Amino acid sequence: MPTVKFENGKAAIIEDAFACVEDDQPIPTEGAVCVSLERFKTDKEAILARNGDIGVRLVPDDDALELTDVIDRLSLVEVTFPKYTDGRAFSQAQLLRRRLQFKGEVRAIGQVLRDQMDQMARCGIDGFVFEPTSGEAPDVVENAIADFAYAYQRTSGAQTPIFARRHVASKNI
Amino acid sequence: MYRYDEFDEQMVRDRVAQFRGQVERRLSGELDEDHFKPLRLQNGVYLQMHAYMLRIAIPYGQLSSKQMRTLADVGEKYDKGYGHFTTRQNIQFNWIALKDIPTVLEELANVEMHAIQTSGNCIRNVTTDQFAGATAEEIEDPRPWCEIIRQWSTFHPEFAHLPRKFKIAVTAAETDRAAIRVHDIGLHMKHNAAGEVGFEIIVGGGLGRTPIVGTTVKDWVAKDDILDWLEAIMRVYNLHGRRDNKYKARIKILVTELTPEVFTKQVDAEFEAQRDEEKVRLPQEEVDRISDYFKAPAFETLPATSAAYEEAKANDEGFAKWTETNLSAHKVDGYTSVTVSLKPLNVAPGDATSAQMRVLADIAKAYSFDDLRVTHIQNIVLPHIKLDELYNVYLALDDAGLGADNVDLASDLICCPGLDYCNLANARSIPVAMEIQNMFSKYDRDLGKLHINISGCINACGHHHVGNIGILGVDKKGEEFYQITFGGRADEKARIGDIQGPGLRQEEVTPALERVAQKYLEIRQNSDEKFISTLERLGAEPFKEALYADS
Ligand code: HEM
Ligand code: SF4
Repeated sequence: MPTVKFENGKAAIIEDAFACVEDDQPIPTEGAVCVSLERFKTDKEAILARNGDIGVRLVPDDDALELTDVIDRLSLVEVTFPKYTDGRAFSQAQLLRRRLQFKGEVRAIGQVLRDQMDQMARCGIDGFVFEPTSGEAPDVVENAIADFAYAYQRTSGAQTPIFARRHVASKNI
Repeated sequence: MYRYDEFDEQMVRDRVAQFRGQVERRLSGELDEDHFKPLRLQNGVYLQMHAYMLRIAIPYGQLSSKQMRTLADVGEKYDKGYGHFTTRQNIQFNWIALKDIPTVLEELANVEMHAIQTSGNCIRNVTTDQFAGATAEEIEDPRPWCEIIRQWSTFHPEFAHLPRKFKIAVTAAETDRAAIRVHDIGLHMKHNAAGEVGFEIIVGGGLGRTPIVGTTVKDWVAKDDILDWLEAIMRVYNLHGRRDNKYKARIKILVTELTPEVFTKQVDAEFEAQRDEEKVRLPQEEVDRISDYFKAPAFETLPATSAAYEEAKANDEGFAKWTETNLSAHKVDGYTSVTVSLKPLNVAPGDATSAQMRVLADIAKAYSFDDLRVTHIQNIVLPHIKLDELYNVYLALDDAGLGADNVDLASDLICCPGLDYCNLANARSIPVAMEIQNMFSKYDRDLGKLHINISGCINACGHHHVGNIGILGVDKKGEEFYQITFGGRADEKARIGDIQGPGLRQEEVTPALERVAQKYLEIRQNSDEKFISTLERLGAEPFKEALYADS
């Protein structure tokens, strides 16, 4: 499945540099890896000591705040939508971006659907792993995110909320 | 009344275009029903027994005459000439073709209306006191905060896929007409010790199969902080609400399972952890801008009494009777708030024809500062009518079949669509409602205030748990039965009614309620003691005996 990165208003397919290491597999000595939160906690010292970018994969039951003290060492956090109706990853993404000020990639995996990509982006998700039902994957992402010109909330996306646009001159914004 | 600016307008237009695309993808087969369902549900489109149903948002129940006229047009052009006003202060059309829905939404967008978040597991349309801005009981007008909450919750990306739907109600009066204690969040505007206006936050009320009265988690929070508290509550719910069982997914179950104390601690911790940058920080200019839309209209200085009104009452007995039930005190002398009953006999409670909607629109335009409200009892309010002009208003209403004089009486009942429309129903509710109305219409004035609520199944769309008398349709081996509860109420003394015993067959319901009513007339202290008060004074036993006297 393609991984699409959305940056500065543009979407592009990227090479996924992270080797996804299952919990029962050894961690390779070199290169970027992505592990589950469980695995990360178990082998934390070893993982932090190795050479190579680190990614952590969250499932909805995970507490994103467990990454607080290592957040600056991570390049990628994957958040999972086991089913599109399970919206916990939206809150996890917001916590990563806004509470922990995570600057790396937040990538959506699982059931990643066109009609939720705008919500995902606004919660700070900038990577999308999905198979398009029609058209090219980057176009799907760009079109989905272009559905709405404005937003009412101050969330993780780059958008200025409507109430702030209305009062550009206010000091309080 | 709030008016859209370019941003609000653009949001709604973008939503219509997005939904049009989704419908096209559904009709072309790119989306199957499974994937389309959550999309249409976020836009108020339900699949019912006979057709798609479209639910249109009426934010905090307020409509202009132009909007009401558009609803009348939609009913005529795309439905069967009527619409159904709901307990959520919204309107539903029951017979709309899917292919027409994007066009309907476009027509609605022309008058600043939409179907956004009227269904699905998101924050639904916020509701409030139907007399907001008109009653002397409120400490201030709650509608600016309803509008602020509407904007904050519209397409909130974090809370678009909650464990379950989420309903917020606001009141600024001690008399609770918005049923805030049976909502996921109830906000009660009140003073703190220093005399500032803020919010009491009540969480975890709800009906459905596990009816619960909400708990106060914050006694008072400042207006400046209210959106941040809402964000904290929503996040705790989104992350920890149950998703394994849709019947245990409402926030009331989370609050109960954690206990209100632990839930409150989690919310406090989330609120405390918010960094400055995470706060909503709504500028005061924005609060002022929105509040300006709800400034009192240009009321005239009038005497408290009106000779024309007194004279009309003396000359027209029907009018005099109607004024006894359908008026509520207004904060300004010489004005009154009129409740138009949508419960005449032999009409599904809450239904209005397109012609009636137009009459209501005309009256609102001519006599009520262009302002209409939908109530959660499924009636329509004309909030600001001059006593001098009341008789004209009454005549116009009566002429349109809108003169029913039964507000808050037994025949002013709440009723869900039931088996006649709804595929989740166990039993019919509309025919039962009509039978009861017909029986009580003979003496419901003697009975005084009595709330009867009817649901066709345990989902409780008809609020049966909080009816003074509640009626619930149940299915026993393929046969329709009706379970009766006593003692429920939705006001500031909110309480879930108690089940009295075995269910009754349809034909037994009305005679049994008639015996209950007779018992009440027999044992009440005097005609000022309401049914619910007699019940609370003496307990359910005498009424229960009457209920089952025949079996
Ligand atoms: C055929 C159409 C309808 C369907 C399929 C339907 C379905 C449902 C379901 C499944 C619930 C329970 C949700 C839960 O407990 O989490 C519910 C609750 C509710 N419905 Fe409906 N409903 C329909 C029509 C209506 C109508 C016409 C009204 C208004 C008159 C209404 C008002 C409500 C209300 C107020 C609740 C909330 C009860 C609570 O607070 O838990 N519904 N509905
Ligand atoms: S209470 Fe049951 S029967 Fe009535 S509308 Fe709701 S789901 Fe349908």
